[in-house]
Amino acid sequence: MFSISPLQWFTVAACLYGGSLFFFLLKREKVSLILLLSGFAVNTAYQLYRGWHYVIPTSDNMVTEIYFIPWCLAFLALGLRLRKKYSGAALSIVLPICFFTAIALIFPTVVVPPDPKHNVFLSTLFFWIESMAHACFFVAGWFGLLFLLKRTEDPFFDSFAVWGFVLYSIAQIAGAVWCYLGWAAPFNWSEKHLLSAALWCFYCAYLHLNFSTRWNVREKSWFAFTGLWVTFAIAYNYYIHYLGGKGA
Amino acid sequence: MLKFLWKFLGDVNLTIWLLLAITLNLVIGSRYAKQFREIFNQLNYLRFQDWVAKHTLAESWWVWLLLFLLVLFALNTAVCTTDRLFLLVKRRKEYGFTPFVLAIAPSLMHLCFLVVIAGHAISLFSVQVRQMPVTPNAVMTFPPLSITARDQRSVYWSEPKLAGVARQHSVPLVVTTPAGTVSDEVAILEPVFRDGVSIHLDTAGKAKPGEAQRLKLIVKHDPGLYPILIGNALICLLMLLYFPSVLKNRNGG
Repeated sequence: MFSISPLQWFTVAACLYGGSLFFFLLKREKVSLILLLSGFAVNTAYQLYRGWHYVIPTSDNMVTEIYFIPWCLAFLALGLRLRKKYSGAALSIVLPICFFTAIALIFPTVVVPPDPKHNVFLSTLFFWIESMAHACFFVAGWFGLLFLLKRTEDPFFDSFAVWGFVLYSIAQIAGAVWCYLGWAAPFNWSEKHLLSAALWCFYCAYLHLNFSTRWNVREKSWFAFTGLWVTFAIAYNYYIHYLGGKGA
Repeated sequence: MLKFLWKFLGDVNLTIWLLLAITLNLVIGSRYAKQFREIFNQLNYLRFQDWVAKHTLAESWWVWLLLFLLVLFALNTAVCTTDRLFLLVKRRKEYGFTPFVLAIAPSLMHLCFLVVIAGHAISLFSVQVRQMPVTPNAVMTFPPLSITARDQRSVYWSEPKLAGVARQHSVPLVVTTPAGTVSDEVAILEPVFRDGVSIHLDTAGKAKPGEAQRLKLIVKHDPGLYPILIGNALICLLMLLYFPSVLKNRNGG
């Protein structure tokens, strides 16, 4: 009889997200929405399974970014769909969802066994909020592109870049306290910490564009779109360079 | 001249370009930190002046450039904030209480940011850190403390799927302070604080199969820590107060 292991649930979620994209491109929005919702439900089940893979809860595994980003994007898309103002553009997020889902399928990541430094409140909070901030930056970049292509007249991207920055700053605080307790320093001179600081500075620059008359809304949308790739390069650097090809 | 300099330093466009320059510098720095991991890891345990004496400009140029950009950025922030605060205080009667709080929030965020930058500078130039591998009855002196690590304790998960996986490591300590001798226990993520000094327990490399995990004590006096953490926490609180209202206004609310 046909059966799939819980670790293959993500593949099922990927198929559902792919189906949602297919029907979105055919302009069958209702079917697309139902498939997106189903994909989100399976993705949620998969994240929960990762957290319980070792019998005892390992909460950091639930928010492993490479699998959690599609979840965060689907969460934002479904949330936006409920708001009248964004409902038209919300479903278009299924395209970036499929892109990041494909990345997760190409670079599968193991469920990490528990260790004394992880799976504590601060570490999970850090990974959770940081992923949600990255997802906001991705949505800002995506909406920035739609604005540049004149597919939307409203500069939706701005709110997502701002909220991404707020969440990212909160994540950095949680991360700094966790890092201090575990490694005796709120900031380390390491590749990961320096790149996190770089991303914070990039979006801090974006935030200040609102106070300068030299930058118009079109230039801001370029900035938000560039931010998508800056975030991608920084957030996925670890997975692509360190885990690439190792498999789950 | 002074007026020109003040205007130049208070320009928001300078802020944007400086932040982009710092972003680029940090990205370049991350490549160095990856390539010369051992060299830049030392910067976590040494004062900047001690670290820089050991290394050439070929490795440290981007850190010097980062410090220069950060000093310029701190000056830019200070001038912008001063200008804005003067203007707001002058016009305070034109505002009601809530609009005034909202208007002043960004300036308070910038002041907190200056506190954070100052905290990092204090840490970089005056931190005191020492490390000691955990061995039975090993002693470390870190004025005004003397710390003795008694032995190493490890607790393992009982689930068969996690056989041999550590749940927690801890080390009982005897800490002699000017006020007397006390017993403490330090564990992973559970440091001990005594007389302005923090004692942390960390793993020392990965354990080989069948071997006990090697541990190390990190003892630290970091006067910059609280400005960094408190400043950052206040920035986040102020952002949570400020941005919902601002976005509501921007979106036609």
